[in-house]
Amino acid sequence: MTLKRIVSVWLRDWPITAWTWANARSDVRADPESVSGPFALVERDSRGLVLAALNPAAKALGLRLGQAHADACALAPSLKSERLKPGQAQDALRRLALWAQRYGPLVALDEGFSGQGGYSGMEGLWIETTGADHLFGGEAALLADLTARLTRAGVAVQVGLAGTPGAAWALARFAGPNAALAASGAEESALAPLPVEALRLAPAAVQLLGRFGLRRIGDLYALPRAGLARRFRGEGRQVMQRLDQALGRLPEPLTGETAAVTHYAHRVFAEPILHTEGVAQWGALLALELCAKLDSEGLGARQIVLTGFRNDGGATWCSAALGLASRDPDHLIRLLRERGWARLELGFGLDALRLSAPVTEPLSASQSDGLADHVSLGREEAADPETHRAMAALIDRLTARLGETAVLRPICRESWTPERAERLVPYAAPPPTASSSKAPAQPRPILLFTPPEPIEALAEAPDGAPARFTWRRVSRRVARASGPERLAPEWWRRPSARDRPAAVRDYYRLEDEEGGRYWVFREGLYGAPDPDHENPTPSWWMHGLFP
Amino acid sequence: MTTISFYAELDVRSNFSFLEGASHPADLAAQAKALGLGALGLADRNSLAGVVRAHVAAKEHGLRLLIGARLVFQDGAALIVYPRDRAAYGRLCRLLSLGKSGIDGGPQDDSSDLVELNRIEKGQCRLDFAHAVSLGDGLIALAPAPAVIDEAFQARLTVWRRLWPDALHLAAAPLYRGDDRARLAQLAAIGKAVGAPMTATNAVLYHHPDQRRLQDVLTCIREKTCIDEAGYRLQANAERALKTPAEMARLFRGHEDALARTGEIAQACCFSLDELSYVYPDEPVPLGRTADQHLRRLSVEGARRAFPQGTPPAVVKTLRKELRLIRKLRYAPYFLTVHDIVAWARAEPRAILCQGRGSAANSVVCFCLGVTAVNPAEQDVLFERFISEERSEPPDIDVDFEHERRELVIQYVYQRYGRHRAAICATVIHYRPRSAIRDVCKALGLTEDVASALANTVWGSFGSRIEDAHVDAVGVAREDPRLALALQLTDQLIGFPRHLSQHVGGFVLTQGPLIETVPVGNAAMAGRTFIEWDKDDIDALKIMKVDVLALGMLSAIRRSFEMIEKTYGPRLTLATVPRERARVYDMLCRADSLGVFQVESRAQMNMLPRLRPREFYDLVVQVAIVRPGPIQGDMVHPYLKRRTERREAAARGRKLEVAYPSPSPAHGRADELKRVLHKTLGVPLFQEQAMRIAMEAACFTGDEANGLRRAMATFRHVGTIGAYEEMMVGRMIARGYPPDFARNCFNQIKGFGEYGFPESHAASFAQLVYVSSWLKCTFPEVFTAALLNSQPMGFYAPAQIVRDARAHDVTVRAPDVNASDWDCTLARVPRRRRRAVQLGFNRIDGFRETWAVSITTARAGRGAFTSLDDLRSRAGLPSQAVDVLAAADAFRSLDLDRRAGLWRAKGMAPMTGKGGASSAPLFAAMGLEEGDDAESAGLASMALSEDVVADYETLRLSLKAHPMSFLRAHFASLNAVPANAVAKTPDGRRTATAGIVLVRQRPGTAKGVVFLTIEDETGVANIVIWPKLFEQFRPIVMGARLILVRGRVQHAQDAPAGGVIHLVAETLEDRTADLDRLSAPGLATSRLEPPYAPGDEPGRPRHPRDVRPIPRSRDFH
Repeated sequence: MTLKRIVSVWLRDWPITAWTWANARSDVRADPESVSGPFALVERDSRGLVLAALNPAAKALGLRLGQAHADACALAPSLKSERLKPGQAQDALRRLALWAQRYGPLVALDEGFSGQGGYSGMEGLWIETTGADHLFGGEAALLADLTARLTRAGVAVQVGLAGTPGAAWALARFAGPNAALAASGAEESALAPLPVEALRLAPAAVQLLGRFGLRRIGDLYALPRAGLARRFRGEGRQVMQRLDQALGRLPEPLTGETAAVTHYAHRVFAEPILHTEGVAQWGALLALELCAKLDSEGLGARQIVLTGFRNDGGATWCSAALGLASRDPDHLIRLLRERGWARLELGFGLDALRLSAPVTEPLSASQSDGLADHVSLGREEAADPETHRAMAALIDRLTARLGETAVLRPICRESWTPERAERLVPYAAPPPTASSSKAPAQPRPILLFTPPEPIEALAEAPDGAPARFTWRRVSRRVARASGPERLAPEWWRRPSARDRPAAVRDYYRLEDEEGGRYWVFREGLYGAPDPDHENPTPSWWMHGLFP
Repeated sequence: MTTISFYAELDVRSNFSFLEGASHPADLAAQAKALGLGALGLADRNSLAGVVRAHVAAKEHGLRLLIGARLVFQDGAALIVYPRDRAAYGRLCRLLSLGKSGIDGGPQDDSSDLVELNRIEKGQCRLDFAHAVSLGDGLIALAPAPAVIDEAFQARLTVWRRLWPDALHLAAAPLYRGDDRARLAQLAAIGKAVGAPMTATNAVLYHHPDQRRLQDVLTCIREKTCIDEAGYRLQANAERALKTPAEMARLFRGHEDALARTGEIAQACCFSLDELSYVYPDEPVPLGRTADQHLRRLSVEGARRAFPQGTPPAVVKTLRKELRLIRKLRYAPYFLTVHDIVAWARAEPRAILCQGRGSAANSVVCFCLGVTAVNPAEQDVLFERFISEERSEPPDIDVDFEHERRELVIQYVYQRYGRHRAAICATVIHYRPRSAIRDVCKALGLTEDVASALANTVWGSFGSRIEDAHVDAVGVAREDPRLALALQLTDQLIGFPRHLSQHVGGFVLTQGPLIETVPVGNAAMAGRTFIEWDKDDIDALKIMKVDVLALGMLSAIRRSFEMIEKTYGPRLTLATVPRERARVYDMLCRADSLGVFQVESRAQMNMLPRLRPREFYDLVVQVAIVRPGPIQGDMVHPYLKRRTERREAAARGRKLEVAYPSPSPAHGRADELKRVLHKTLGVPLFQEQAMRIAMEAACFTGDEANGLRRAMATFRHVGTIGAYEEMMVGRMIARGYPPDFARNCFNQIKGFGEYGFPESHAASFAQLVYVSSWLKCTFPEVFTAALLNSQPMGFYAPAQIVRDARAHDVTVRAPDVNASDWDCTLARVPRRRRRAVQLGFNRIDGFRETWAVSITTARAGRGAFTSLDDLRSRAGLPSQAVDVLAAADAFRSLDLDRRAGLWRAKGMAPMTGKGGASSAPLFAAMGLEEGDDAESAGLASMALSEDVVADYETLRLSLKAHPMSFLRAHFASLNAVPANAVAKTPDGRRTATAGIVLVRQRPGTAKGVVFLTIEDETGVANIVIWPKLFEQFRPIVMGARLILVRGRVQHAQDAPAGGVIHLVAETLEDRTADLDRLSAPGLATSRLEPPYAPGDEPGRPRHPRDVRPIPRSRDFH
């Protein structure tokens, strides 16, 4: 077996870190930094709400993973909590793994060993640094660099380095900073004083070892293997395997969960690129190369990332998302240009450039078959694939240039208040799932006046339709009318400054003698006291026109 | 304008259409009257649960009420039916019962296998239109028009019309969707075409438009969504409220006949719940005798048995009086039914112990029938407290049975009367502040932490609203509009029924089919069915119930009696336990009452040395006095003072003269209260005394006293008691009583509303206090074994029970494969008469009774086991069982300590066949068995502290040592003294002690004070934590398993030496980490976060006996 060197990175409280990052970016919460007191992410399991991740302040209060939220609140009423978003921590871990490739080509995700779906608080990464340490001035310096960078980014981290993933894992979590590095072949002595938990064992196995008085890894060395192995059937089966793996007697490959990007084109330069023109020139070449690779595998890119590796050890990148999978090099190049590869921070020059496609999806050769499935398609567009592709490309470019929030489309929103029944969402966002409940039974006008326009109307109290009304200084006689449709305000919404004060509305469909069709409403009721009403005199408004 | 002034609303759902209707039945009735409706028809979704409340309210307001139900079939179609007479009502109940439980009253309905196979879940109703055919004639049916009138609806209408040619109506309601005129015209035409004339309704969901918000919230809760996302699932407007006849007339302009029809229907349906004539079953009456004759005979026989020397004349007189009244009120069948159940339980092969509690103990008849145990010759009984003519309330007999075998009794009742005639009463589960906050916050989209912060402002589950001060205290901004809405809606939601559940044991029995009186549905528990009405409902309809309750202590007493008979000979019953033994009272005076019924809690133990019970009546007082009623009414100290005075007077050879508060001479006799209060030395302690004071001193009439009693009972729900306060206190003062006394009396009544004991109930419980005390005093080893075998019950965990037994010189032996049975047993001790307690396999977590049976059977066959292999092959144990035994250290008789046993057990080859033969001997014969005993020698021997921790993990107790004994030196260095040293510390001195937390309590009566009981190897220490300190150290108080307390010693006031001593905490330290040092001596604490141990959560108040000082082991589960 070749001698390897593996770094294990323990990301303490990783889900919390991932949550903080996500919220810092999306500005959903004002200030995630303000969560300095006890804070927990909670999730629902069979026992109700339980704590899924804790920050140090919460741990200091004695709260524990898996504890019922209600119990935790009884212990610490000051506990703040948020719902855990499934996948958030894993996604962030994958992104961090990409970043960690600066220390070595092979990075594997270590999603904890609890095996029960939840977080164990043991999440981290493995980085194979065999032969790469000299770039950082030796292994100790590499660990110091890694720790310093992550700490600066606000990640609570502990690291370990050894010849096997298991030993590195144990050292990172149990050995303390001064003993975190085991020289090649010294794993056995380095692990001996550590508790058996450091072997990544199930709690039941740890307990059983404890019953035998075996509490340190070193205690296991002396015991007869056969006797030990036989007693660790079932829950303890992994004991010998884990021990052997940690000591390098059994291989433990790091391939299973590698985060290495498979679809990419990569160039290393003898002379660093100092100018944007160089990036453009090489970027175009890389795009050709990437598209050729994707073509050979029948894939199209949904996201592309251009990464520049600076000769000072830093990295700079820009990325773009595609509404429709593509492997058209021209399209990719245009997108990267819109996204601003000119704005890459070149520093003292790039010594390597990589274009990768982290998100791909199958795309057949003709590029037209998959179109009908594409969710963002209108039916008319699908009829003409060529138009559609051009449309999708245009939307990608507009989105890339103007930002996600600038290219929008309307979707239905379930609301009884007509002006709220529609809203605009980013074009790229997934369309909402269709609602099962019924929409209003009555037709809605094709044109809605926002805000509604005041009219004067003559109608029978309390809820008769107008017999005549004056709109835009023209008086009209009503020939036909139906209604009222009574819509009460959404009492739970706080009226914002530009909203009209909330009151019950009675809508009428009117047709005047000239055949014009109108949608008018009376705001407020005659006679009947209306709890939500602030303005006692009912008023009439024009809200829309029917074709 | 039309002049129609009569309108009856016939499509109304109350909040008993759970999460749909948004008004209480009573509010609907009141509003209907206020709006001038001619009648109201209540038709809840597949339910009659709300009709009694509506009935009571409608009577109060003088409103005509139509009782019906909205049948919602499985295909979603709905049909409202109103029975016109009693028979049709019975068929409706039968139909709903069928949908909810599958019971149809046929002869087969007890062969429940078929029923269980496709069991209808609790709260579900499975109905098809085919079932509705059985409703037959005699009713009015209304088919509510759906939102979309389609052909399916018309087709349904045609089919239904064939069934009820003259009784089907089409119920139309204005929807305010903009097309009401066209829609009504269309419906009228359809109705005409089909022959189901259109009837006007408003599809009412709430009584007032203001309730729309709450209805929206209910919709969100039902749809499990939040208000911002509920969209079109919400109602578009607030029109689903009750409307005036004039408004309805305007809406149905041009359809005047549809309005007039409501009146016709209201006229036709003249069924009222008053027609439910309740008849009690007559099963227990033998042929040729009337119920009264039979009851008389049984009572006389019982009296002869109870008084072999001749029944005292006073008892005979009372018995006659009672029988007369029972005959007059025709209650004899009720008494006979209770007697029948009790007699059945006693006649079981191993008699099931039972004893009546509550007001029934005031009846000589009940005593003679053997239902209650309060001897009327020794106790004053007042039959009027049980049954009185004036009160005209049905009697209520509660009987306790052994908790482990109560299910037998319940199933007997079902079997004897049939599932169509017997069912358990319902309990309406109402929204309480906590649940209301949670649901409203979720519906309004507020985050979980806001919801739990608000929910946590409510300590305990009662209360009627959320106090503003509490909201501010948790730092939630009350000004936030969404939050303000949430609080407002929560207030409205509190008190709404949420679902129905079964009562703890109240049976309703009828002579005719019960399922024709009220719908019967399945409970969540297999084999249980319950009716839709709760206790208040059946009281209102004067239906009688028998409470079949469970009491753990009865199980323990029965086990004790059996063990005594088997081991020592004498045969005992509840009635033959020797009475009034001084040694028993001496023991109680020492507060040595762990395990004893009722008086084992810390508050009771506090009281015992102060009260110093010397006779049975003192026990009655003891049971009643440590209750919120007397405590809140500030009656405890005066009573104790009187007792001290009496003792002192007696010491001087005199009698204590109590000065009774009296009215001014103009208003009445000076001794009017003496008669009420002389037994309790002038201090009211019992519920009846409070009532008698109201009647004597405040001149309440019978009716007023009754109202007061009802207000007390429902104090939690409605605040009607305020009016009585003024009345009672005012009248007492006017009659010349001291104002303070008057106010105290009333406060006590208020306290009783929460939890108070009537004297008869306290007397019934005192019987069990005495019997269990006598057992503990006379046969401590028997009592210990019986308590352990009856777990879970009582207040203490097995560890404390065993510890207490050993302190009383009882030998306790650890479980062992060669000595234990499944249950704890008594084992001979050489040269001693008193047996030892041999812990059974039932003490071992995760061990199964079948394994224990295999072991005992094998042992009975060929004697003790000689080796592990011998055990496994002869008992045929699976390796899992051997592992559990090894972990529990049960191989000592095989010369294996825990570690060696575990090593051997784990090393055994797995079992091959089911036949119980181990493959090990075969391997051994072939020379393949590894001789690896030597290997275990390589293991370090187990430190005693480790062994103790492992004991706690597997047995929840250790006989080897107390965990704290290993930490003594460590804590001594921290200046902490043992618990027994705290007890010897003078009053007011500062000291410190450490121990394992056994109990955390924050009683409602103690104003936020937390009581902590901690234990070390020398005993327990009682810690008092004031609220301010609690807030400061909250995580430690709530979370620590091992705690170090520094504080000041406080001796209980007015207690003689030997009373309870408290340590008033000043600072607290969490020393839980020290426990880790026991199991891993020498290993530095790992930096791993403590792993999560399921089933062991601190924080939430839990029953002390379930608290595990050391988390359970997680292997082998």
